[in-house]
Amino acid sequence: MRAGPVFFLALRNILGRRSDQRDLARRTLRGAVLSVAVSMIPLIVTLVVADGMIQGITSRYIELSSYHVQVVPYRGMGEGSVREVLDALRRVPGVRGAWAETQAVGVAFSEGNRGGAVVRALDPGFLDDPGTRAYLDVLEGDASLSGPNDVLLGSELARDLGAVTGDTVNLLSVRSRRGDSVLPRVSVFRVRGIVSSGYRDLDSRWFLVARDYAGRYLAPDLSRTILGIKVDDPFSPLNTVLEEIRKALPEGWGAYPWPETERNLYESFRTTRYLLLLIMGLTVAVAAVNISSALVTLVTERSQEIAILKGLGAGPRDIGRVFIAGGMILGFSGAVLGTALGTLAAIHINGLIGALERVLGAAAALFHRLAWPFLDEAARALPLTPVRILNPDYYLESIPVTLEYPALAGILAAALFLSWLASLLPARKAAALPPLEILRRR
Amino acid sequence: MSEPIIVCENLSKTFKTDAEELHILRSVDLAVEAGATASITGPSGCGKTTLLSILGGLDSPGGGTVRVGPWNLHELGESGLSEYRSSFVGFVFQFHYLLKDFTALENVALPAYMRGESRPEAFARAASLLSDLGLGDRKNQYPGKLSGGERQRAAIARALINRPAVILADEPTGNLDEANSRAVEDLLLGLASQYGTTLVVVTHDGRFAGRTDRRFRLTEGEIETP
Repeated sequence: MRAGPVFFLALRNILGRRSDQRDLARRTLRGAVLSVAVSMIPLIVTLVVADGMIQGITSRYIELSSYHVQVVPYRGMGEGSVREVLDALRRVPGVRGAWAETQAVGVAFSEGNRGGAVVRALDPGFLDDPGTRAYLDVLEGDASLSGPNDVLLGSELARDLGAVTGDTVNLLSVRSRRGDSVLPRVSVFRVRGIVSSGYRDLDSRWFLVARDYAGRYLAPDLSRTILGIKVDDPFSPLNTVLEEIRKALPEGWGAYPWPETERNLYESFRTTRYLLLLIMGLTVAVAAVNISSALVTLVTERSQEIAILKGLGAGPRDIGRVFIAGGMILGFSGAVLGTALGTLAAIHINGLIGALERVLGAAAALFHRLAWPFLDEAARALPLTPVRILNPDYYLESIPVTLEYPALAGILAAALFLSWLASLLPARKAAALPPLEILRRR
Repeated sequence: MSEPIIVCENLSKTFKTDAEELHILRSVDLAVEAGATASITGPSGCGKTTLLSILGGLDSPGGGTVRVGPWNLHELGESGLSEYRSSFVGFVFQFHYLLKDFTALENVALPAYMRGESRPEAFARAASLLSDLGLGDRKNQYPGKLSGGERQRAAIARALINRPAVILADEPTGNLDEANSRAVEDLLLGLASQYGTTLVVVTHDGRFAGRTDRRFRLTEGEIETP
């Protein structure tokens, strides 16, 4: 039998037209579609939220810290060659900007407070880049480094030092090394601004200074200089632009894209995402079992129709295909409905989390009020903090919503495959029904 | 006389129960010529329907040979029997067995559509056939809205849609009143004559049987030719 009559019969089997004693099958079928749809919602939300958070977190890291592509020399480089290479890199199609950065570690201190610092000596143009501006929160002062003693502090480091804009802070760095001994050097800086990347681990170390003057306090042999590149679209495949960058580099230089430089972070996110999707996928698999039981009910209730079709010349394979098509129609309907609802929920995830936080906050306040007579003085003195489901200190202020259409299509295909799998047993049962015995029963 | 299109030789069928073996058909020999009409009569439980089911490829012979046209039914497997049912025979049951979720038109078109005809072609032929059988204005009704006679006429149209060489009818008038019985009887005999189709009918109705070319009587599983 061709696909046309198979789907014609499958649709009629599922939708039918009458409402009689066979309503049990109809209800079971509706239940199967709904269970697939409901199981798809958390899967889609997980996918969209995980992708959004991964992209959001990754974007902040690569825009503010590790660049889209890092270019490093295999041996030391002179300042002249840095400028030449930067000029060459800026001319590569698809490159949005390129900057040199020198990195070292030191200890920042101020009026009895101190904290470990990662000194980032930046080209001033890096702070004007739109990607940097989009993700760098300027909490105080302004994000510019014009003078030799200007410093931008990460918010956590500024808090540890008790520093505000305009204050003086010191940096203890290693100036040079002679034999086995090192000579410390203390440099004085004025806080030009306090900035935040949104991540505590970066904000607690950042000591941003102008690279033009870094030679005064950072020893070349104890610091590291890289060239940071930003491309037009860091999340598209980087092979082409990377090839062009490598062509533009003189011998002795290497270029590394962010999935390599941030491999640990990237792989950890990816693994977590796959595990979450796998767990959520199991719920869809369980829901697909409902398709199987609904179709078994349908086979029982429609046994006479199956016998008639066999009497008209439909073979066992044809009957099996009708029920497999029916199962896939059910699975597809549930998957489409679930994907639509899941996508809707994912698009509004920030609003939903906000609403949930308000509801939980109201419940906490109510509970606090009811419990007030039973609280002691110490408990009464504790402030009632607002409920936060995602702490922005560790996550993001809001979850970026990213719809990955290939992934959504993959999930739909997987749901269809599970529906096909779930239909095999009832299809086999229907194919094996003996027509004559059923027709004789009447 | 033309060559026989249906030939049964030494056909037997036995049903086994826990307690005993029931010999439904015993050494049945039967031949019906192409284009002829034939009736099988006999008391209830004598094996008429079993014989018709074997001829229709719905049941397998226990022993002997059954040949219908080019088909040796005793040698066919499940898929061969399906192909035989869809292409060579049309079945009319005592109960109409129309599919309740399909209109009369869809019921009639379905065997042709399943067999590979395009949907428009199958539906056009089904509509024409229903008109020929006087159901042109009832074609979009579901079986529940048709009278007993109309349902049986729709079932006959369905049996004819694939232009079968043989029509097998099992008590086609058994559930109908006198007037409808005569109408269906006339219709079956007329169509068989019009299309040159071989008709084998199982019936209790002596008058209907008397109008067929060949008459067989089945008693205790054995054929008697009057």
